[in-house]
Amino acid sequence: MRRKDLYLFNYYIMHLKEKLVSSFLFLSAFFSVIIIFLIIIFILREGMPIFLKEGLSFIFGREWKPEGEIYGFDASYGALPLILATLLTTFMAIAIAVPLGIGSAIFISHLAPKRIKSFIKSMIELLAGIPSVVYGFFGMIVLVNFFQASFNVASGEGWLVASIVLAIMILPTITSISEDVISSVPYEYIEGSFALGATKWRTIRKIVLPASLPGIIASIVLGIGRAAGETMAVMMVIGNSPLMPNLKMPFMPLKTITSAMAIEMGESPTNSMWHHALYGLAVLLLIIAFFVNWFAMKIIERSKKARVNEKLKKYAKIFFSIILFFLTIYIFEIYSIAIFGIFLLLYFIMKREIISERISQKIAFSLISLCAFISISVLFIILYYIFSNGISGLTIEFLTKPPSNLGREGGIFPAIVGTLLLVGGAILFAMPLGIGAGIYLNEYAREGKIKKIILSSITMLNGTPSIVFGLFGLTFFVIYLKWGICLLAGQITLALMILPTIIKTTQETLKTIPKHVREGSFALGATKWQTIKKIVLPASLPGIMTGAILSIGRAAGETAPILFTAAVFSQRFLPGSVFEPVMALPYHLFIIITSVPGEEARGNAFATAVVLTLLVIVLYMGAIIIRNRYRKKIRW
Amino acid sequence: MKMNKIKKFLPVCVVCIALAGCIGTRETISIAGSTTVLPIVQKCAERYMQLHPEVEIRVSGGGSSIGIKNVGDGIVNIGMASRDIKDSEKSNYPDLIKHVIAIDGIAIIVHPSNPLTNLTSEQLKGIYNGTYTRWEEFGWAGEIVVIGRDTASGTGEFFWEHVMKKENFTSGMLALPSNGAVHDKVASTQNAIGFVGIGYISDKVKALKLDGIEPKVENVKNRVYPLARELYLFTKGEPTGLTEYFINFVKSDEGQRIVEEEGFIPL
Repeated sequence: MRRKDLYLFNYYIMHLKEKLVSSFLFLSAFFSVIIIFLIIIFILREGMPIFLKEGLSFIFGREWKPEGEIYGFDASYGALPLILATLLTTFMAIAIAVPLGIGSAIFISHLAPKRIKSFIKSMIELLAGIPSVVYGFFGMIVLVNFFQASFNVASGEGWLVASIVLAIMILPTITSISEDVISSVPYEYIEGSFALGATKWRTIRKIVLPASLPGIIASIVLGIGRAAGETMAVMMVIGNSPLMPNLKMPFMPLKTITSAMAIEMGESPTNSMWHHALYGLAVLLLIIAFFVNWFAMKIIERSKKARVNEKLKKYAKIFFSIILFFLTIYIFEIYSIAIFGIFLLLYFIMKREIISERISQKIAFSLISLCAFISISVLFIILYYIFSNGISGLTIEFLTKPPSNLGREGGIFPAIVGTLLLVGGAILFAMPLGIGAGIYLNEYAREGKIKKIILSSITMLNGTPSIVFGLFGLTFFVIYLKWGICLLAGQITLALMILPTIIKTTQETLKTIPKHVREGSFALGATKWQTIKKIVLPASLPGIMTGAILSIGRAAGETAPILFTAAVFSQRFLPGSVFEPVMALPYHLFIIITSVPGEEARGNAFATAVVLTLLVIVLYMGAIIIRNRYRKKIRW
Repeated sequence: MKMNKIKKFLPVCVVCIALAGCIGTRETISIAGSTTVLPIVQKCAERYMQLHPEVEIRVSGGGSSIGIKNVGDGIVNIGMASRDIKDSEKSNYPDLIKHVIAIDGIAIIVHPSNPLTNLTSEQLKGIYNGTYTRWEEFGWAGEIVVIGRDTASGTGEFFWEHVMKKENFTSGMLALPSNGAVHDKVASTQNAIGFVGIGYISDKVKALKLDGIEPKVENVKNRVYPLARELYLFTKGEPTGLTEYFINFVKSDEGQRIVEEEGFIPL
């Protein structure tokens, strides 16, 4: 072969390789579109009969008694009590978590001494990783009993406790995102305000908060999405009676959309109307989740273009005041006069500026510090409670033996291995696809319809509640593909759940690599893929790793997706192939808390909770350390 | 430097694959379904595996319908159910075969500090449909905290059919997801009343007589105690191999002893 031909040949090979790589990357990005399409198709296919049969009365019917069909009485499929319960708990959780979260965020970014600032921030990020079963467990034994004793009510379960548990769960999310936004307000703005003689509080109130409002709203919307889609923690504390919510009765048991799905899925016979109704609920939940995410995206988009419309803000203010006004009258009846009186008095004092700037700053700062104090101490109390009760149960035997006597004796070895297998498999599936998709979107995709479709699929996937992933896994892998309840089904279901997180962090990291680095590589004659492989990817590896580890933590703590796809209650040997089921820590914890009575079971539940929490915390800590180290090191 | 990071993680991945890939030669069956039947089957499985070290029996919960669905679809070898198969399921899975393995009595439980010892069926129905709301009616004090099961559960359905005579439960009833949860709730709540499988009675709760009859094994066996039902295992077609051996083990003297140990009534 002549030298020229050899060059040409090499050139073609290289060209082919580039083509192959870019089409693989495109496919991995397009995978999200396929998945969201499959989820919608399969959930809709199973849920359609209930919409055809009941029509709108499925949404507006006031009675939920789907079990009538098989137990021989008149079944009714009105999901309104469930929808209202979901809305109520979500709204209350937001009402509790938003002031605390924003207060903590302001505290961390502007009031905290430099030395403890990054410590508190890391702590709160760490707490975002505590699995929801652990929150539910805490709510069940501590909060429920506390309310039962201190309010002298018959039973502490109900929507109030559920809202509080949800609020604690979404607090870290709201705090850490708000803090990011508040900290990123340019310092020139703040200096400018100081230069004009404004106090620190006035600067925060008039400059910092308005400038970071869109980001704060986005964090709230994310919190709403998480609260509405949460299954396990709510199910364990809400009492699970499908009643119409009564705002005056905080200890009234309710049933949310997610808890109905998780509880009744196991009891509804295949192809019964009840079964279809549960998929109908999944459809409703998907619609709510998509709407919330779409709304969040719109806010973020809009905030990039212009400031929040003043008129819109005014209308929103009036709208919410009217709602609050009537709610107060409804709940507190005659006492609401006193509340309005206090409110008016406060308003009057603020308006007339009777209190001097300095005093109002003092009051505001002490309130903000109080918020931060409450958030951090609540989260620490939970950790302390779980650890102080569970650490004594952590013996070598507990960590290395299989369970016996329904989890009251023996250990949790198969569950630890099962969780590692589930998470390891999930990351093995999700990493290549997620990183590929991230690279495609940031480096290859041209602006246009296809990119838009892919991006919105990823957003939808990101907003899909974990119980819906579980239901999809059951319908598609377990039943449709006839895999049965097995490791592989659980791994892929979890992989789908964490895929959007990995894509997003990859994308975000790639964006931070400056353009001139790539151009330098091109100038030396490197191809696009060579540049990405040798220059861009190595530099963005820490960022991608952080995303991956965070999603591992999330996958390890999730119960809902493996509930119907992979988990078994007991098993003596480790699974021999991916087509066998496994034990898993969160599922094991859930079962021994809710189904096995007795003190021994309680003790083992605490110890299991400690192992699960430690596992997740160690992973998160790794992610935070990697991020902090490389954030300082890399300089272009 | 950065490639080292990847290299460090490679062994972890390899170990994961290797662990997932090693296929043993042991014989395995899986069982899923009702959480009421689960303790019996779990204990029997533990005992059976002690006797036959090469065998692996996996038990998971899920509920009666999951049990029937999964065995019908061939996903598990045996389905556990605390209720009989429904017509819609019969038409879906015509070849399911029913094996009765035990009898479950349902006991009415209250907090140990409650002085009450006996209820009539009418009184019980009255408490659960909301006619009586306070313990004063029964010579004690306080509001009655009515605890039931989610009507989706087999136990809840049985109670509703045989005690409530298909009337509605009071809307204030707290519906808990499992026998264990009801037991713990009653044990920790002074004014509570609940119902659980006889196997869940402990010294932390007090079991009431129903129409003067104590919820005891002999009484259920002799069919004197009114609230009792059968528990089932389902197989697809006649069981063979390990499935058959295991079902026979549950029905054998040794299996039935476990049934009794777990507080259920042997056949």
